[in-house]
Amino acid sequence: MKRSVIFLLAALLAASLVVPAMAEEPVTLRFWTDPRFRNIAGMEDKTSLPGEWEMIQAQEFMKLYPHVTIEVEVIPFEDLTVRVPAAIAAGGAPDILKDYLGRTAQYWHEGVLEPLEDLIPQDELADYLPSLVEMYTLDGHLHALPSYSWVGHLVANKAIWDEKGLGHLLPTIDNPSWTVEEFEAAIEAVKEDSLWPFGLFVPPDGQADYRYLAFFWVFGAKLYEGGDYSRVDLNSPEGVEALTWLKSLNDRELIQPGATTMTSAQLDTMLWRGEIAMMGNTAALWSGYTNALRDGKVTREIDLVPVPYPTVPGVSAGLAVGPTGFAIFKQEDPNKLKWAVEFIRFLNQPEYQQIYAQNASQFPVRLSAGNPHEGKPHFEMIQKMLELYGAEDLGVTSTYYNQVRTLLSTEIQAVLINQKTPEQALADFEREANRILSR
Amino acid sequence: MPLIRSIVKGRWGYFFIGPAYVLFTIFTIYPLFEGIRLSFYDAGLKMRTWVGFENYARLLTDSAFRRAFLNTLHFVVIIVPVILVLSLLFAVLIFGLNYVLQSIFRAAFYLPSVASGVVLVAVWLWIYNPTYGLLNYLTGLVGLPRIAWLGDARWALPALSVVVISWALGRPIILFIAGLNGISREVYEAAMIDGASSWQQFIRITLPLLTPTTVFVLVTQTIGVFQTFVVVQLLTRGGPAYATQTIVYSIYVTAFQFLQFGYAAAMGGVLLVVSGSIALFQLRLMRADIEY
Repeated sequence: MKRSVIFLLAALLAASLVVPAMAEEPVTLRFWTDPRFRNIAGMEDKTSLPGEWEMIQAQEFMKLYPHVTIEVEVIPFEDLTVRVPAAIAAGGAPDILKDYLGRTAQYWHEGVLEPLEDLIPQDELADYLPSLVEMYTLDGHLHALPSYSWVGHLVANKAIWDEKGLGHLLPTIDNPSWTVEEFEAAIEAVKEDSLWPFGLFVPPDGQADYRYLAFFWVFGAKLYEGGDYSRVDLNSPEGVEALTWLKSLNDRELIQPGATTMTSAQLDTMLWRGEIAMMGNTAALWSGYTNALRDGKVTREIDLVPVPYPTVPGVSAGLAVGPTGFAIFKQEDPNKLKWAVEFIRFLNQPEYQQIYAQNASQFPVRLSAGNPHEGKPHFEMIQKMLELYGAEDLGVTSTYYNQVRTLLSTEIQAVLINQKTPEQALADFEREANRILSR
Repeated sequence: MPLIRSIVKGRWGYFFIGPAYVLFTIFTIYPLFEGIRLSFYDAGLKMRTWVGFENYARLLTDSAFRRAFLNTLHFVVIIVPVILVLSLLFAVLIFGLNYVLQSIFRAAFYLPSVASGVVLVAVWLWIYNPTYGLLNYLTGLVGLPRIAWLGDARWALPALSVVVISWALGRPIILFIAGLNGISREVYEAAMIDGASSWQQFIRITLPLLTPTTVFVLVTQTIGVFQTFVVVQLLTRGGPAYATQTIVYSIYVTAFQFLQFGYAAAMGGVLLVVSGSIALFQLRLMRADIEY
C-alpha cells in the first residue's frame, strides 16, 4: 500500500513537471539587433564583441522559458538600411528588430509591423516617459517599444580654450546658455592654421540631420510646423538667416573643409587630433573617446564638455532626441506574437534599461530605471539643457523622412559649395519636399 | 530535327555547361525579367500597385536622376578611354620584361582587383582627406592651397575617377598581356626584315591583332563603369550636391533608403537599355570576333 502511494505521488509529481512544459508549444524567434553594446561593466570578458550581450540576454530569457528559442543576429549599422528592407521584401523579415525610430517608423508606414498598444500592460506602459510613448505612437498605434534615447547637443574640447586661458568663453552648468555672438566669439578665439574651431557634418544621405537642423532651430526656423508632416516649413526668413549664417561660418573657415562628404568617423578623428574644437554630437562621444584612447587615436589633451546650441533673442530652440526601440514584424501565429512581446518586455526591464544607458551613454525611457547617470557632470549638464530647452521635432516619424532629409542635406551642400544661394536652396527644397509629401 | 541532332552530338558539352547556365538563369536572367516587371509597379516593401509606364515618366522629370545619368556618362567617357590606353601601355611595357618582373608587375596591378574594396577606400579616404591627407600634404609642399578633393564639386568626380581607374587597371593589363602573348613572333620578324620601326610595328601589327582583346576590354569596362557603386557609396555617397551620384547609387538609395522598389527598378531598366545599347554599338563598331 505504502509503495503504491509513493509510486502514485511520484507519478503525479512527474506529471506536474511535464504537463505544463508540454502545454507550451515550442517557439523560435529571430531577433535582429544593431551592434550598440559591448564591454558591459562587470562582464567585459564575455561581451567584448557586439551582439554578445544580446546573446546573454536571450539565454537568460530562454532559461526562464525553455520552450522559446531566440536566434540573435547582429546587423552592422551600415547594413541595417539594406538588409532589413531586403529581408522584408523577400519575405524573410526577423520577428523582432531593435533599431532607430527613423527606420522603425518607415516600416510601420509600410504596414509590416504589429501594433503593440494592446499587447503591453497599461500599468507597464505608464512607466515609460510619456513623450517617448507619444513619439512611438503613429496613426494611433504604438508601432514599437522605445528602449533608450540619445540627446543631440554641442560638445567642446574645453582643453583647447583652457590652453589659451579662454575657458570662460564656454557656457557652464550654472549658466547653460549663450548667444550666437558669444558662440562666434568663442570659436573665432581658438582658430588657428590647422585648427578649424567647428566641425560640421552634412552628408549627402542626410544622416546626422540633428547636427545641422539644430542651427535652423537656433534662428527659430522649423522643418515642420506643429507636427504637420504634410508640408515643410523651413523656407522662411528665419531659415534663410540660419543657412546664411552657417555659410558665413564655412566661408570664414571656422568650419573644417570637406563638410559635405566627410564622415562622422573622420570628424571624430579630427577632434582626437585637436584639429577641431567643437561639434554637434551626443553623449555617445564620451564612449567614443574611451575607445579612441584605448586605440591610441588621441594625440592631444581632450576635455570634453557638453555645450548648448546658441540662442537668438526671442527664440526658444530645443534639442534633438533620437530613440531606439523594439519593433515586432507582422505575425501569423498568435503564440509567436505573444512570446515576441514577452521577450521585448524582458529586454526593456528597468535593470537592463540602466545597463543600456550606462554602456552606450544613452538615456533610459522608463521612469523606474531612475537616473543611471547621477553624479556624471556631463550628463547632468545634458539633462539640465533638456529640461531648460525641451525637445525639437526632427520629423523622424514622417512617412517620407529619409527622402526629405536627403533632399535637405543636398540643398545645404549646394549652399556650402557655392552652387546656390540660401534663398534658392531653401526654395528648391520646399518645392521638391512638398511634391514628395503630397504623394 | 537538325537542332536535336546537334544537341545530341554535343551532349557532353551541354552537360558540362548546363549547371552554369542553370545558375545563370536563376540568378541573372530571372531577376532581370523580374526587375523589368517590377518597374511597372508602385512597389514598396509589401504593397504593389500597377502603374504602367508612370515610373519611367517620372524619371524624365527627376532632376536628381538626370544628374546621376549625366555623372555616369561622364564617368564612362573619362574612365573607359583612360583605362584602355593605360592598360595597353602598361601591358606593352610589362610584356617586354623578363618573366620574374612580369609576374611581379602583373600581381601588383591586379592586387586592387582582388583586395577588399573597403580597405582600399580607407586608404583613399586618407589620401584625399582635406586636413591630414597625403595628397594635400604633397601639394602643400609645392605651395598649392588645400583642397577638399571629395567635398568640392569641381574635384569630386575626377577624384573618384582616379580611384576607379586604379582599381580597374589590373584585369585589362592581364588580358592585354595574354593577347600580346598570342601574337606570333614571326609577324614582327617579317616586319623588321621589311624595315618597320617599333612604332609602325605597334600600330600596324600589335593594335590590329589585339582587336578582339580591345573589344572585350572596351565592352566589359563600359558595362563595369556604368555600374560604379562601391567607390561612390564609400567615398562620397553621391555628394556634394549630387556631384558624384551615379545611376546605380541612385538605385540603391531609392530602393533601400526610400523603399521605392518599383521606381528603383525603372532606373535599372534605363541602365540596362543604355549600357546594353552602348555595348552593342561598340561591338558592331569594332566588328571583331571575340575569343575570350
